[in-house]
Amino acid sequence: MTPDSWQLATILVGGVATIAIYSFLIKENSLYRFFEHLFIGIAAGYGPVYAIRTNLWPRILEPMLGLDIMHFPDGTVSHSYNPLLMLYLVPMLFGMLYYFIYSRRFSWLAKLVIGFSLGASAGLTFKGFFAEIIPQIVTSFRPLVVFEGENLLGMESFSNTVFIVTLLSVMYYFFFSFRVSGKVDKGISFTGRWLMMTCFGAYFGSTVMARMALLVERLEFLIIDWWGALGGIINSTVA
Amino acid sequence: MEGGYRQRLVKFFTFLGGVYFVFEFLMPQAILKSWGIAERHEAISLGFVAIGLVAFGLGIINLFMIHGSKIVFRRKGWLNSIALLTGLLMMVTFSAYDWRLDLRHEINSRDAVVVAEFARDIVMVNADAERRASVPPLPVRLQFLAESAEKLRATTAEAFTNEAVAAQTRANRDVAVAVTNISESLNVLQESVQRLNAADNDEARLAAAQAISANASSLAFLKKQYGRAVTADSYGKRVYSFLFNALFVSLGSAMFSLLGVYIAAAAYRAFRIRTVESSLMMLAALIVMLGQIPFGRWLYSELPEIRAWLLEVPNAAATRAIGFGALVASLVLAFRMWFSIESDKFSGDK
Repeated sequence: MTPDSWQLATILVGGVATIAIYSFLIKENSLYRFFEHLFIGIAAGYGPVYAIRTNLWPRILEPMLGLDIMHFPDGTVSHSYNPLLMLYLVPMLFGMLYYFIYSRRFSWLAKLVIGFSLGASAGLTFKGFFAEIIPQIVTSFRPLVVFEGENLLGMESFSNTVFIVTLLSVMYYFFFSFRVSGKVDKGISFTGRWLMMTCFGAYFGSTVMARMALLVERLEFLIIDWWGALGGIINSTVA
Repeated sequence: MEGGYRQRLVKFFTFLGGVYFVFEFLMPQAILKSWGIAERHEAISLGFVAIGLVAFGLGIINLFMIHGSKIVFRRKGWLNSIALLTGLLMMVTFSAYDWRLDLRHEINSRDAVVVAEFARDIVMVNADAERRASVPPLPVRLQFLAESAEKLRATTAEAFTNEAVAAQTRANRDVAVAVTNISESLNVLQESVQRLNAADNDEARLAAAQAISANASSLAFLKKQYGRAVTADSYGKRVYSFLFNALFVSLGSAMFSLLGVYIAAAAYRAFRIRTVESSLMMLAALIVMLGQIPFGRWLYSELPEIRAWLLEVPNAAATRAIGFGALVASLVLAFRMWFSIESDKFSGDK
């Protein structure tokens, strides 16, 4: 196959794959399921090689084997080998315990590493909680009235007030989710709910636009590239 | 009794997994430095990553077990399972092939990388009195640098002037561009070597060494680019590009854009419920969507600014408030997991 025919095949198959996925809009069908399975297979095959290529090999195996050390012409080296790097074998061997999940007798060994990973993720959450929440709390305390010299900055003051009111009312609604009875409680809770819905609307708008951008790109591909390529083939066959 | 022992062991390992990150956060930096943990933190964190990285085979084994049995026993959808496993095997094979090609390009450009790093090392070590004592004197190192840079230039020039390269250049435009760039880069490298040889003080010599480092780095990059241009037409590379572009990218984009249609359909149903909340949600969504497209600006020129304000002020504040709630919940869940309170079933024997 010539480079041009590879390109043509890429466009034609890409178009068929796109149409097969969109056929789900009519109803679930065997063509959709075939390409869905193919996508899962290809994504599952790409992931592990990518993980080894970008993480396991350059960050762990290459330094551990000393392959990243450069020997300079004057007999010196870029950096000396650190034998402590061999300690990476310990977590790697420990991680191998995951594979005992397939053994009836020794599956409990896999639970050790699963438990360890859950514990590590809990530790990271603890660290992440304080690292993330404290700066956010600090930056949330904004002045309600903003001055620049003698001048009152109206828009900035308004924005800061809206920010604080939204933050407090949504937090009130979120944290005190029990039944509210007082007029003030109800008012704050309602405001919180309304502002939260505004936020969800904005989220929704952003998400739809991101998906629509992909849809437009796919339709552009189908109408210009795929249809063009298909038309070229039909014309040459007829001629 | 044996079950209880295993259960306790799992709980102990769960606790052990979280200890490092909690104490690394709670301990003062001075103590971490004195214990040597601060400087090894990245390596230790990488150790945690290594545990997960070696488990990449689990997913593949599971897919083979589930879909392999479907194919063997001809269960419903076995043809789809063949498609899945064929796609998986082909992608693993050709991704590995692509990686192998990249490694080969790296090996082929290693001589230029060594010269670049050597020149950089000379400049850096010269500024560090402690390290300077453990290497040969500066003039000796610079002499070696000049010789190795000249050798790199000569061998590369020789390698890129033979008939095979000329034939490739005639056949492939990308190869021709790469060869031209390499030839220009070699001329610049030669000038830098001449500057190093002609320099009469250390400052000028170190400046020339710095230039050689930059030139050799650029040469290494161009040699890799040449390698990629030469192998771009190989069968394996073509199949990899086909799998990636025709299937992986196309199917991925189509799947995600399909969700857009369903989100819009679900939103239509939600917006039909006429309450203040749904009206507010629709209004915010409309402003954000219209503010992002030229039609919105055509309707009202200030719409993009209103959209930006909506996202930056009320939306950011509400997101932050929701985030605080979610983070508190995640902290509670993290503690429950860390102390194995969350699931006794998980830590059990069965």
